[in-house]
Amino acid sequence: MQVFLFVIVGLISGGLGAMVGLGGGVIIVPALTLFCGVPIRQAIAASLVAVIATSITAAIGYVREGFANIRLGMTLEISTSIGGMLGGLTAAALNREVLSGIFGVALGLISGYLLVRHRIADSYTLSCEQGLLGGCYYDPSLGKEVHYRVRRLPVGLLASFIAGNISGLLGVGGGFIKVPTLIIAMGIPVKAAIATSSFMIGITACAGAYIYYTRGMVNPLVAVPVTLGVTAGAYISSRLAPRVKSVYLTIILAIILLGLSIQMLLAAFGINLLGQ
Amino acid sequence: MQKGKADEELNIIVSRVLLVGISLVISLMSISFFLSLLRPVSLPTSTISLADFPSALSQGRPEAFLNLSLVILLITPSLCVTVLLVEFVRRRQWLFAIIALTVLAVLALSATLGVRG
Repeated sequence: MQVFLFVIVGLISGGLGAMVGLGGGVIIVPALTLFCGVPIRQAIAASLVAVIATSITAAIGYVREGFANIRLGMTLEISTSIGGMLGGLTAAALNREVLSGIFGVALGLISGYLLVRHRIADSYTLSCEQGLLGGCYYDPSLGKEVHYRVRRLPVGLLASFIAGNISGLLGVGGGFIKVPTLIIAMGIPVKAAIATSSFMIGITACAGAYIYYTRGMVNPLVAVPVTLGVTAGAYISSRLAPRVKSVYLTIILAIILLGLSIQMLLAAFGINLLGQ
Repeated sequence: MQKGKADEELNIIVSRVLLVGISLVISLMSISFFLSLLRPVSLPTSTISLADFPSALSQGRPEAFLNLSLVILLITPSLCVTVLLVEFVRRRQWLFAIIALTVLAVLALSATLGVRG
């Protein structure tokens, strides 16, 4: 039955995504459109719903442990949610071929990001004075409290707007833009950046998802099995992650995403090598 | 109250809201998904309008519970922002209260534009 295929798509997307630190959205949309024949808007809507579920699940721990910077997240969320809303409205107006083409380009960029992201390192400066948006958390691996300040807020707001726009337009979380921006441009420690981005993604995805839901583009037949699969996949992945070499997995996923990127670009011109 | 202690309290409140929301969603989704599979009727392919919700729920239709789980999932992040707004107001952190209110306004605008489109 097709619903079980959707559960499996969710399981694989959630599992692989969580293992390499990406939301499942980048895998869900191409998998649903290229392998299951789901219309791209329904696939994007299902992906947004699944992204909200995984973001909430991840954020529970990050927020409780104090890694997520809620005040910074909410401040950036002003521009991110506006971006998400505009992305949702744009997606509703664009045709299938254009959406496929944009998704293909985005997948290529994410693939590149996966290959270079290990070079992104902490650039924060320890500061006793946190300022209005700075934060602190206890890092068990360092055995001490980390205090940091936030710099270049306007850059963060601009990048967040772009991330939100891509989220609403393509049904992905946008963490691949937010996390490097928070670390490199804004000087946030890696752990706080990942946690804050996870906290934000659910709210951002909502801004886009409301457009899709109220316009009847959320198909429960697709969205519910995918969401259940993604949540289970992310949970299983969190158990398996310590035993898996994430470096090799990241390279494999980057190659798969590059292949999907090429196919999505071809789909923009009506060519489908996968036969759906 | 010290800032560190106050922030810890805020973190716990927000994480509890998210935990309750997602637990409810996953339970409802799982139950209604498997009930739908057991029944001879197929899963719904479109969402139920909010006006039809009460009657569909009172009839115990699995698709109503599936849709309800989707609605709860979609409102959980907004509920989280609402809780933050209340907490910032309670702590007299007016700047962050305005920020939370702005985010809520954008989310409300998004739903409104979706309905009007």
